[in-house]
Amino acid sequence: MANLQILLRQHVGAPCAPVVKAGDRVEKGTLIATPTGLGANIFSSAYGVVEDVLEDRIIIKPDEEQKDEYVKIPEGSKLDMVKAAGVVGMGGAGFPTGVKLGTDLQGGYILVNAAECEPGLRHNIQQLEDDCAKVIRGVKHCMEISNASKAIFAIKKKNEKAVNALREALKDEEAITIHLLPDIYPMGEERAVVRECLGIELNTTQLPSAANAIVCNVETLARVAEAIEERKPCFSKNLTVIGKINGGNEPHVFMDVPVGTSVGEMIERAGGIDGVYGEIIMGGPFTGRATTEDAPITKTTGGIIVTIDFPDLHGASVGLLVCACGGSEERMRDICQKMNGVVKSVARCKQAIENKPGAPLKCERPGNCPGQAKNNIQFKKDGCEYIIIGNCSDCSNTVMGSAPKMGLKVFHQTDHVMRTIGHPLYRYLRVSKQVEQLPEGK
Amino acid sequence: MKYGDKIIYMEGVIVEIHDGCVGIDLKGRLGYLKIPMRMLITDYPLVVGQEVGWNMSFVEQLGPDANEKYVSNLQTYQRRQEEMKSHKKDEV
Amino acid sequence: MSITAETAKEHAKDPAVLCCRAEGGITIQAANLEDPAIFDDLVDSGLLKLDGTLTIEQVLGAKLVKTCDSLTPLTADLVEGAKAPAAEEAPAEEAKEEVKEEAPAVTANPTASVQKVGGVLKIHIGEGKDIDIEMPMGFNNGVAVAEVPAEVELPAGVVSGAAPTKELEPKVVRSVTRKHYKITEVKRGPETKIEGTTLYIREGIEEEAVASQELVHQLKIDIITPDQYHTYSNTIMDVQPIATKEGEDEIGTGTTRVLDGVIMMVTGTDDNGVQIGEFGSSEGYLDENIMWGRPGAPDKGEIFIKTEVIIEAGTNMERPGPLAAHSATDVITQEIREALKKVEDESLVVDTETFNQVRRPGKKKVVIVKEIMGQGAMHDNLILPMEPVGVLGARPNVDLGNVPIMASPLEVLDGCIHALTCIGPASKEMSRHYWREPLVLETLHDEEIDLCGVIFVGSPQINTEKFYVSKRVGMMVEALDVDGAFVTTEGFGNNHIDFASHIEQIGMRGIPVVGLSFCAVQGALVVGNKYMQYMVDNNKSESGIENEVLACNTLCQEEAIRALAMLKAGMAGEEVKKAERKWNPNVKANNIELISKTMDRTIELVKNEQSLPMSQKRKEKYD
Repeated sequence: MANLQILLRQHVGAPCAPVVKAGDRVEKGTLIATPTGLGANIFSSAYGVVEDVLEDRIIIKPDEEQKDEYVKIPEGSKLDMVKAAGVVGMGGAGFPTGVKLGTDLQGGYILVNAAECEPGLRHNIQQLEDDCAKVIRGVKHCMEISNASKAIFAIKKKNEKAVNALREALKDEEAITIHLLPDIYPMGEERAVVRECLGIELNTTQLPSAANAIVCNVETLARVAEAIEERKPCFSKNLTVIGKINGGNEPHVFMDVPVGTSVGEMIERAGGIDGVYGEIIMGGPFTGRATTEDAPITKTTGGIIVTIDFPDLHGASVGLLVCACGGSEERMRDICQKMNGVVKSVARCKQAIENKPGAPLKCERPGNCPGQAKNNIQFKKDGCEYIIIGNCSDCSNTVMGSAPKMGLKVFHQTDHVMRTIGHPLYRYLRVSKQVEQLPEGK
Repeated sequence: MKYGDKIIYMEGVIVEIHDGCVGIDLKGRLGYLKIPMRMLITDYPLVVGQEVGWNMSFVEQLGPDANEKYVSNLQTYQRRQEEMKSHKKDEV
Repeated sequence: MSITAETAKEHAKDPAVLCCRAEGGITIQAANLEDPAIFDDLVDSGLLKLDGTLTIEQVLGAKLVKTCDSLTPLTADLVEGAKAPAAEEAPAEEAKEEVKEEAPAVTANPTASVQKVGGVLKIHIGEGKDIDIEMPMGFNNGVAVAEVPAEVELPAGVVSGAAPTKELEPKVVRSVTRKHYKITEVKRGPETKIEGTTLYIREGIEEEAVASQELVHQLKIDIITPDQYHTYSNTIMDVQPIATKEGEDEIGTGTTRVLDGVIMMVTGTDDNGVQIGEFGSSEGYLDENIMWGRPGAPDKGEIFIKTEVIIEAGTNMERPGPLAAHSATDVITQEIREALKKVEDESLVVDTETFNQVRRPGKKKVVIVKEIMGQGAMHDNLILPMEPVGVLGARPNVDLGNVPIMASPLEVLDGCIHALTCIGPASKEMSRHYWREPLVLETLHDEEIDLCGVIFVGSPQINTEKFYVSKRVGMMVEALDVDGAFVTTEGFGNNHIDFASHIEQIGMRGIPVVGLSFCAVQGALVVGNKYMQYMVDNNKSESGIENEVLACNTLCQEEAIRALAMLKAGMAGEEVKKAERKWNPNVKANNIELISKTMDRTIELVKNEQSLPMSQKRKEKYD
């Protein structure tokens, strides 16, 4: 077993401070770093020896033999246990769950984000298919902790098996219902979940608590249940490995992968890279970033994607349409460079708001386009031949409404991923944003 | 103009250079254009044989009738030219 | 981009177009609609056709019948419950009333726009090499003008406290006196002389004029009196005042004698009868082709001494050709000048006017940059001849490399430019234009402004040379430490590239700069930059085109007034409203009205080609 690299920053907030030193013996579940401000405890995910403590990570040399037992967290109130277990938002945001659940919702909602919106990822849905009971128990714990009276599962209608499993499990749960989502991106955006389930449109600076709601990812809820029921610290992660993998482009779902495992090891476990590839993405096709094989898995890693090679634009002029739904400008520039294009113009979607300078962009109305023709006019004026967009389904559709007619060739930043996994490219929107709901949410 | 928005990219070759104007043959023998210097945008020193490009459209008639003023001007101009040419011959 | 409810209100009458895909059954809101501001671009690129599109006010609140994609114009068949347009509802009888209602609304418009925008017109043209055609029409703002005096008063206040008042008093640097001699008749005779109000031109002078130039083969003099205005003429190459300096006086100082009621007019062809400087011909009947009274044109009632110079075949487009025609004509003019020098009878002086070059320390210091053509051949100007608008002693702009040259305002008004003039009869500045240059006059006489000089800069053919000279202009203006600058140009074409570059070079040094050029429709700028905020259009033609009428679209007093008011606004840091996308003559009208109101000054607008006799056919063609 290769060394584990456990990053000191796996969540929103400041990096944790190590509480172990090189040579220390650790067990699975040993607390190895604690928060210095906003943050969450970090635990060793294996039995072994601390080999080194670096500025940003702790290196652990694991023992050859690993037991299933782990060091349990101390008993306490449910909220205390969630905090002690170091649970964070596992959908990718990494907000400390203990802090989130500390809000008194005064009878409000726990919204379960089961959208698993990033195409290609499957571990959330698979968890619901295989063991939705644990997730539901997690929901109930959260309702109790934060004084919520209702909970809603937000899940895409297309995931029939998972929806059926939920319907079966929830048929006698009065307080918990299901809200079906259309299969468009970005239904999993936190504020989109609030809007879809509750009909409340939050502005870009508001948290779901402004709608008396807390949004939690499926896996997060399972980890909450584990923390409370099994006193289990949060040191493992569910994830999907997909892409140009030996054996095909089907998703490989891995449950409870020790945090700190390398990306390369996960790819090997899935079958290994199949020949020439373009890049390895950590995260989803939209919001993920290029990574390397030696990068470690964290509590927020949801996907590892190996893509096919990039097309070569031979130095053509490219316009970048940056929005909140896709990659940052930095990521878009990275993709443009990998496609051998030259960035001539950068536009930002009208709805992409930078709450604070440098903060990640937030969309004002996720999934509802504000019009893109003006940006296309800019690209055209700036002499672009190609444009790369990172937009949601609706905005991509709008871009396609004018770009091709203006002679702009459109690439979506996820194209190479979609081609890899055999998913339709993000271009035209052919499905309705409305889906028929289950009778009374059951 | 009925077809005013049909913009066509055209190319030509500079075949004559004078101090005040250039002559341009439209490629494909589609005509000849003589334009004053200031209507030519010049990024390089002018040389016969340089290729040039511009957008233009089809030429449309604005109406069925001839404008008498222009007919008269043209006739006068042509008559004078002929007079001068024959005058020149006489001199020789 | 989608619009807000407020924007929707502002654009209530504009077409309603979906900004994005919208699903059938939705209630149409502002957020579903595209911003009408970009429609022009979309229509231009063929992406949008707006025929039959309902207006924004009609569709708001209505139901979309079926799912439509982005940029779908909302037509009646796509919308359920649209509000019917008022006009359609109203029966024919009521239509009249509606017109009545609309009329006051139109007059109210300008006032409203003043309050809202502060009245000044702002032009923004895409930066750098944008080849987008935008049509600048720039004018002024009442509010800004009103505020200018306050700004200008400031130094005066400072002064009374500290510096000695003497320093800030206007200072006359130099003066030129013009003595006017009236000519009522021009005759041929045995010698060139002036007797009373009759000018005699020596018979046989033509031969000497021909002999003076190798390329000139023939020269004919026609004396055109007002009753002969309906005469066919070759292209008018130039209109020149007949003036001479007294004694040893140099151009720009001392005394100048000038003949009133008569002008020199240069025309010509080559041996084959091809017009010299063939392009932009104004050949035809004189009375149909001259915009009387323009600074550069003849005034109605004047006698023309018109030369018809025949030059060697094929030289009409080469540098020596047009120059030879001008030089040969100047042989005649020079002999008249000599005769004028000899006049001793002071009683023949009908009028004396004195031009003072006044420096006004403490006032806003301003420079005028006049771009003159220098592409070659007829695109040339002779600078600083010995005699007003003469040839001798002058250096051709092209030979000087088109570099900027500083002239005093009085040198300009005293004929320091002999213009060879080229294409675009309606917009070219002929020699007489400089003699009566309205912007120089207006600025020189404005007591709130300290005009420090006039820079002439040529417009070379090649772009690298254009930028070479415009950088010199920038450096020169920087060294002058001015508070504001004007840049003017004549005609249109590639000179707009350096015109824009001059403005950029000055503007990037933080100096407000007003640009004046013929633009309108045909002369739309080919390039632009962010410093081209203050633009004045010299167009006066009805349709905004080069209308073949001599001097119609040249800089007149009404442009000078607008430009000066705009520069004052610029120097006072006032915002100027953005130009409309397409040329709109009403912008000028509104601003003229604003200026005359604010400054309590009646501004009489000059006439345009509509005032000339013209055949019905021509009317159809142009207007």
